[in-house]
Amino acid sequence: MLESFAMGFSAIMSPIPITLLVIGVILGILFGASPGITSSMGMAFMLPITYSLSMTYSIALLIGLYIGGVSGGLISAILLNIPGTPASFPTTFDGTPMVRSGKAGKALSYGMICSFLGGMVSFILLFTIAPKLSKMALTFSNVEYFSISLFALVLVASLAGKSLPKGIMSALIGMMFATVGMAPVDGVKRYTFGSNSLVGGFTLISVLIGVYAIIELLKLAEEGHMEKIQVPNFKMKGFDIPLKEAKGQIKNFFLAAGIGSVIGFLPGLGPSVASIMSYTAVKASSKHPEKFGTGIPDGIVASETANNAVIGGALIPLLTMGIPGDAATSILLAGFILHGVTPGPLMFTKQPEVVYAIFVSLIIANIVMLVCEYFAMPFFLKTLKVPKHILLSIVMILCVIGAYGANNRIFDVWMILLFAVVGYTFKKFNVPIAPMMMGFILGPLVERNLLRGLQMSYGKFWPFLTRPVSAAFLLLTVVYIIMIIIQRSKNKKVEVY
Amino acid sequence: MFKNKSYKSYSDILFGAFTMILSLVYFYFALDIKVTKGAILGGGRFMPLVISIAMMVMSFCIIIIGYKKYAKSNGESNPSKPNQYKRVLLILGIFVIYIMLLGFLGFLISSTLFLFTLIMILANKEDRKLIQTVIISVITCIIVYFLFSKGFGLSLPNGLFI
Repeated sequence: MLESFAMGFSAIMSPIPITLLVIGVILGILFGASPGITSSMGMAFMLPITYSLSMTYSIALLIGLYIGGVSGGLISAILLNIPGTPASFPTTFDGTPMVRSGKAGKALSYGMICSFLGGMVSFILLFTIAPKLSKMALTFSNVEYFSISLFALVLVASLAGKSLPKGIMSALIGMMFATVGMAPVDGVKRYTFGSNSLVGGFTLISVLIGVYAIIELLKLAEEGHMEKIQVPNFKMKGFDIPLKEAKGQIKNFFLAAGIGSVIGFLPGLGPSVASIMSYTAVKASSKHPEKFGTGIPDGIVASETANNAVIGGALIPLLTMGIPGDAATSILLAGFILHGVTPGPLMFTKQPEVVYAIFVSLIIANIVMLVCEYFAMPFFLKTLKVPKHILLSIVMILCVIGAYGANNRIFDVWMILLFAVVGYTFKKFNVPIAPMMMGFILGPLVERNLLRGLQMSYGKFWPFLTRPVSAAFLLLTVVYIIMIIIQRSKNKKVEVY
Repeated sequence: MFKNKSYKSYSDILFGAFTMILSLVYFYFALDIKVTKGAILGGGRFMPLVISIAMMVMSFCIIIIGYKKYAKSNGESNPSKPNQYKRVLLILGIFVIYIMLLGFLGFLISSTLFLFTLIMILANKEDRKLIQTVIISVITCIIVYFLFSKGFGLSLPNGLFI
């Protein structure tokens, strides 16, 4: 493994990849800190730049964006009381009171250090688990992939929102969109209505740009009057974390890192879910839960550790099985596909340089992120003064480039509008969007693996139930569905009476 | 019928009805899919059929749950913010026009016009600065155009002019 890391280091530590990585981190922090732009959005419209870059350069840039983006939200969450990204929303609970009592430096110190360390913990998990999991995944056939993808779909449909039927419906709609085009095994045309453009189906990047980026424009249009943000000037002077205080946070840290990594591993959830769940859990396990929200470091530790810990966790299913763990990894997936790389267990054996380039980029980008946030705080704060609507409008132009650049056709640009409308409609009806994305990505996996698996077993379903891994996941799926239904009907009874 | 109760209380019924129609249409066109001889489970038709039936079942659940919620709600309407849907439609319309123009006027001109219009409309009335917006639009689009087409080698929509 050390040799592989050395390989990764030599690939990334050359002038161009390092420059791209640093640019990625800086832009990522900017996007993360800007309340108008989310980190997924930033990655989505930066994707077209990678079209003409090599795989390694693209990785350096995208990983930099990913790490910077997840972390950057803490800057505005703490100093402006506006989370830069949804992932930093719980950071405002204790960040803002700390600023009010003059402890902005402490809040920022905790935020930055926890982002860094939380990420590192999840990376260590990634480095140790992923290669082992990929070895196991090498033994997987279509049968196992079917059961795993099915379970992943059920998981995301149930965890994403409050309403189970809406979550399932969202996933089904995503799967529906994915059926447009050519069927997996026999290649028959489906739902193309005579249009040549639809034969290839909807391009993943169009769906991602529409749902994660263009939708923000519609949300902004809906806002009446835009509030002017007062941006303070601030410079970091040392990390305000006394050793004794830090020791008291160790338990919180590891709890948050664990939650973040697990949530990252579960498909379709992401940093925003991780941070709030972590906050809730850390508060519940605290000796002084009543102090949460008044300005204690615990809250920031909980939130910022978890949202960065998602990164390593989310990369595990992506790299070992091609199943993205969150929105950002969905975009990474699109990036891989663009370069003709299919993430999965074979990547570890046939293209280990890609895997270890990712691993090394994660470590370096994490360090760069910490350094940038510490030294360049005034710079980031200045950029936050750019009005949201101007920034967003410019991003729209970049989105159009991104959508067009994928296949050189205007059709994909039209599609970003379609999916923005779909996403916006979902929002209006309180339907979670993550299941739709996962349905769009996993639906074809489920179908293809089911049909191919059955083809190999000559139409018999037995292998799905007898092969151990497949049986385990199918059982898990059924048990999980039953559990959810029981739990929800219990809640309903409580409501009625 | 819906007048006394806020939109929130019947939005689920609306959504359920919409998805029910969607699933019926999706099911109908699934029957158009050719069944390859000898294909397992009918080949390409299987998944759409499964999805559409599942969607019908879910739509039904959503409508039922939505109706229960509607019946329970006591009609309090809390207009948190006046609905700005007109503005949303306007922005959508501008985007549509932009994409249509891309083929005629090309990327550079269309994007400049689009950016200008978008910034002016989204800005608060008191913050609208004509000259500043023109400068931002023109310069940004020129930079982006050259950066992506010459710098990154991406091809951008060509119009009759640029």
